Amino acid sequence: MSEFNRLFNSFFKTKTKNFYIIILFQLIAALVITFFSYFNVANWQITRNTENNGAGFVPEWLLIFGILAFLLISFILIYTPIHSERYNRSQTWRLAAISDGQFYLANVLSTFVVFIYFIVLEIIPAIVLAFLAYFIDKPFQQGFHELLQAIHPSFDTRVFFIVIGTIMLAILSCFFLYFIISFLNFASQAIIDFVPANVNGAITKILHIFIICILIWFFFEINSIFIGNVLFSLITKMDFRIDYYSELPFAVLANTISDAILLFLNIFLINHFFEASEQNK
Amino acid sequence: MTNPLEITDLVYKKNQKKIITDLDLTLKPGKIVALLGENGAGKTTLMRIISGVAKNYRGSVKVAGFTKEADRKGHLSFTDGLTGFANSTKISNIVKFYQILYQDFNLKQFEQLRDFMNLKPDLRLSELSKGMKEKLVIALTFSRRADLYLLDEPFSGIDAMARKKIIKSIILWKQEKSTILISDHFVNEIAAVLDEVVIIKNKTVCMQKSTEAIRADNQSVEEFYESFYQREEEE
Amino acid sequence: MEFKDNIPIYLQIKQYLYRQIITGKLKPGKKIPSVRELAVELTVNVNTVQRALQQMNFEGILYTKRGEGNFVTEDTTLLEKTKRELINAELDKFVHSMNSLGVSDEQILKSLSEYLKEEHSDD
Repeated sequence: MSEFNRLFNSFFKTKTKNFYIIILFQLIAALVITFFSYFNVANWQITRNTENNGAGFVPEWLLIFGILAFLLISFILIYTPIHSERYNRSQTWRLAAISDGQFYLANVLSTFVVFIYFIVLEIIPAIVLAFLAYFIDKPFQQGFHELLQAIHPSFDTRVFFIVIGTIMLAILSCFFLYFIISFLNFASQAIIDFVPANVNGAITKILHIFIICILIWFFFEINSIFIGNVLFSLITKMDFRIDYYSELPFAVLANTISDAILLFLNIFLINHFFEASEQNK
Repeated sequence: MTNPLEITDLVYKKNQKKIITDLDLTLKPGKIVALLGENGAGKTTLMRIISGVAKNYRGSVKVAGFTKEADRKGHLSFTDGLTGFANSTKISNIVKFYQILYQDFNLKQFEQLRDFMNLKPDLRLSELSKGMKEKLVIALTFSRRADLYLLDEPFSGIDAMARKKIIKSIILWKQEKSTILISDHFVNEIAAVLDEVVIIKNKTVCMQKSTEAIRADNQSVEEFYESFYQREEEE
Repeated sequence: MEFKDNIPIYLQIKQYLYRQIITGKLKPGKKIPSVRELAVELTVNVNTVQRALQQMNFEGILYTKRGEGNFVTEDTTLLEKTKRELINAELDKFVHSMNSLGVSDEQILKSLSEYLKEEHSDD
């Protein structure tokens, strides 16, 4: 097994540690919420809630689970990259026998794979619940059949490209989020390491936040100039009609370029400036 | 045989403060060497630079002939404070982590060392005393096969029994050709097992000498070390 | 075993092994502990033990069998000689310190025989 795989494996194991428990809790929470919206519990008497009986119990459970899943996936999307920055700073991890650039790649890629894994883990119970609903609940079954009939599978290349393009865009945006979080962390810490040692701790912290704000502002400036002037002029010369379909390649290209630039910057920073921390955490 | 460690013209600054200047250091294979100096003399920083976890230094650092950080990290084993783990982590899970992360980690050897140190695998990090934690760190560090072992202050704040155990484990598990660098600000307790002492003062290596050569001058290693810092006080 | 830190340790290891041999804890013709065992027992560096054993090999008090380890010599005259040397060294120290207390050689003899008489009557 190569060093990269070893490290990736460790990252994956550590980052997915609590996933099963989260999903178990989510299932139970959805069940409890469904139960209380479906039944009235008063004086130790359980009565059917007559105001809210549009859907069967299991479809309702599925719905609540789905809503929770959406919230949790959004949370994981934001939380995992922020949490992953701690590994970039941790000496325990950085001692792995691998170059820092590859270390960073393993960290970021594992964050993405972990995110996809979480989505898959969310889909599995949803499918199971859907199956359950399909076999238990007649109205759900009917609705499902109606839904199937409503969808006309009409695959032309346009739709195909839009789907592919959108998926690519989603993945690129995901990495953009990861890279920008790392960049803010690396760049601000690298700058802080140049601040004279006699400046006291509180000022350093304020300075740290200030530097991050400056970096965000700077980045938006660069981005708007880059996309607004350079790339956009290129695209408009090609005379696309301005709609989602025609803008898609432009968006994918712009995102790929900004991702690549950020990745390059991050690898440079972690290779040359961003140290592992001496202290705890 | 290549030297486990060769450092030339090392300079390291952080926060506009020089921590290491013009440092040269070469260690020969098969030695146990103490890196001595006051607290804050730069011992930990030096080890972090050798291990490639401290950045932005100038000069050349070679571990077993390798300059690239990835290769260096593959040829050395550095005592890590286990700061990357939550306090609730069990020893057995830390071992699993090491097993996945390091291809040179030898589980059988770790089990022997763990047994020798009397550490139970189901203990959690938060349940370990300072001495026990240090024993665990040493056991993990020696379970890897490396040319250079860097032990950063393994004896600070631990009791005499734990210290003896650790020293005995160093003698027992040291491979013939590997070199061990032990940092400490106090030498008495380990003097008998040392081949050499390296003294850091004024941000650089000011002396490197064999312990038996010191004793041949009818001086104890401790007196020798203290003489470097006393001179400063007199000045 | 505690070592003095201002005397080369390999010399002290040699002294230690001489004593072990002379007092019969290590018997002539028998294998002595391995280098690593000795190092752990005495809590000293393996290289230092090696150096002590090398010198003792050179002196002939130990001999090496390839792949088996170090053995104590069976040469009784050499063992006798070693014992005498050790006794002489101790006497040297004793006489030296008595002299430095201003005790003359005759007084040493007298004091010593009186002392021994008392000690033995105590037994």
